Amino acid sequence: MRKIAFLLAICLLLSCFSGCAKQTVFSETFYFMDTLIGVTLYTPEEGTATSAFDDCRAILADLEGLWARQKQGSDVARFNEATFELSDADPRTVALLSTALDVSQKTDGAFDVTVAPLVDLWERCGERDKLPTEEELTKALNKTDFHALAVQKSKLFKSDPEVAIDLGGIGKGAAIELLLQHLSTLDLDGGLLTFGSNVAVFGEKPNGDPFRIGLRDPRDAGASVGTMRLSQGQILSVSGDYERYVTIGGENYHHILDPSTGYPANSGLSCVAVIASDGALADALSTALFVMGKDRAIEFYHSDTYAFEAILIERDGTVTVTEGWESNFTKN
Amino acid sequence: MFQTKIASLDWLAVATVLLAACLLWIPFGGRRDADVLVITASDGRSEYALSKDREIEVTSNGHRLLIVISDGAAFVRESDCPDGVCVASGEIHYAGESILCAPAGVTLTVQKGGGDNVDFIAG
Repeated sequence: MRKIAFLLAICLLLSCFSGCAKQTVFSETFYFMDTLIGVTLYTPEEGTATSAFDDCRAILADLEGLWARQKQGSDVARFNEATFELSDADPRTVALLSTALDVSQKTDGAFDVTVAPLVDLWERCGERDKLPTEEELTKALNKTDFHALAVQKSKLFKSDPEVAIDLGGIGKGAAIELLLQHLSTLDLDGGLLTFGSNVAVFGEKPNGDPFRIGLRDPRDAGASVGTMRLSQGQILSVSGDYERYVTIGGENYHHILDPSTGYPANSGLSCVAVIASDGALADALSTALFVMGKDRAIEFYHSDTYAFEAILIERDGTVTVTEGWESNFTKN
Repeated sequence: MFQTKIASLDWLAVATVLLAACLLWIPFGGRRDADVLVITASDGRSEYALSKDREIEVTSNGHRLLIVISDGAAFVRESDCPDGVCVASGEIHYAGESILCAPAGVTLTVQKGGGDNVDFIAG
């Protein structure tokens, strides 16, 4: 019996120390593209996590160098400065612009990647604390037209030199997917990535539980409207009227602009969450559906133009979940 | 039928083993850390348990922020930065939630302890 007790002792002691080895959560925060990025990794090896964080930092710096509009020499800055074409854009930029154009077309411009003149106008309005004039709005709207863009093989074209692109509504989703793709190739057990309001996961948590993501209540930053399970291959992107805004005359004007009016979208929605396997698509669609409003958004979902699921929160707090996501989302 | 008689010394051995296992489990395997607030500023990174109320003064890039931890939440009460976005951001409670003060180069992020049932609040 003493032998049994001794063996039991060894097993229990070993299980305790194996428990120590499972305390393997490493987190790092980065700041790129004017956005906070959180990376949480599960691995027994601290060196593996440190190396992966270094990779993330390098990837993010690389993408910022390509897609930041204000960064001199970036693909976006060079295209915006170009008269008609950019012939040496990075393949990742070309792929992203192709997706951006496709979503712009299929959503009838509810998402429009050429919204840069309107974004700039509202930023100036915030700085001077004065709403845009009709003349200013008309001028900016005339330059907002995705029809002026084309992507052919590795070249980006525009028919109007004054048209400028802004990847603010799609770049973060694309970036989180590129990070995810890289991290998935490393010897990691799993991880959780957050890029502003974009979320992606891979692998497994140490205890095997599914990743559970709450969706913020638009009118109460400290509360959530519900919780969803997220798995590898599902990228979540959220657009809300509370995220970023300018204050003019004491009133907040949110950053999701309706390319048809030039004003912040007034669709009755206060938050849209989209889940798709393509990060850029999820990001762009969350903006597009927000601009469309609930009825058009649901109609677009049923058109099967893209494979995605969505959660729509109206200003009065009503939450609508698309059919394919109902079993995956628990309302509070 | 084979029967084993367990001597009292054996019970003592088993009890000792279980006690040792429990004592080791508490500090290592069974730890459930409280969530922490991670503050990154120009002079480095610091962490504070969200379970303890306190006020933290941070000076970074020439700006001064007064950060408050209260009732498991953190927020920026005062900042002399030009836009005040950090103060307007309100409270953060959940793992992954962040507040950024770009002019001061300060980030506040809640990192997960052991007790949450969600991994991140998106939005």
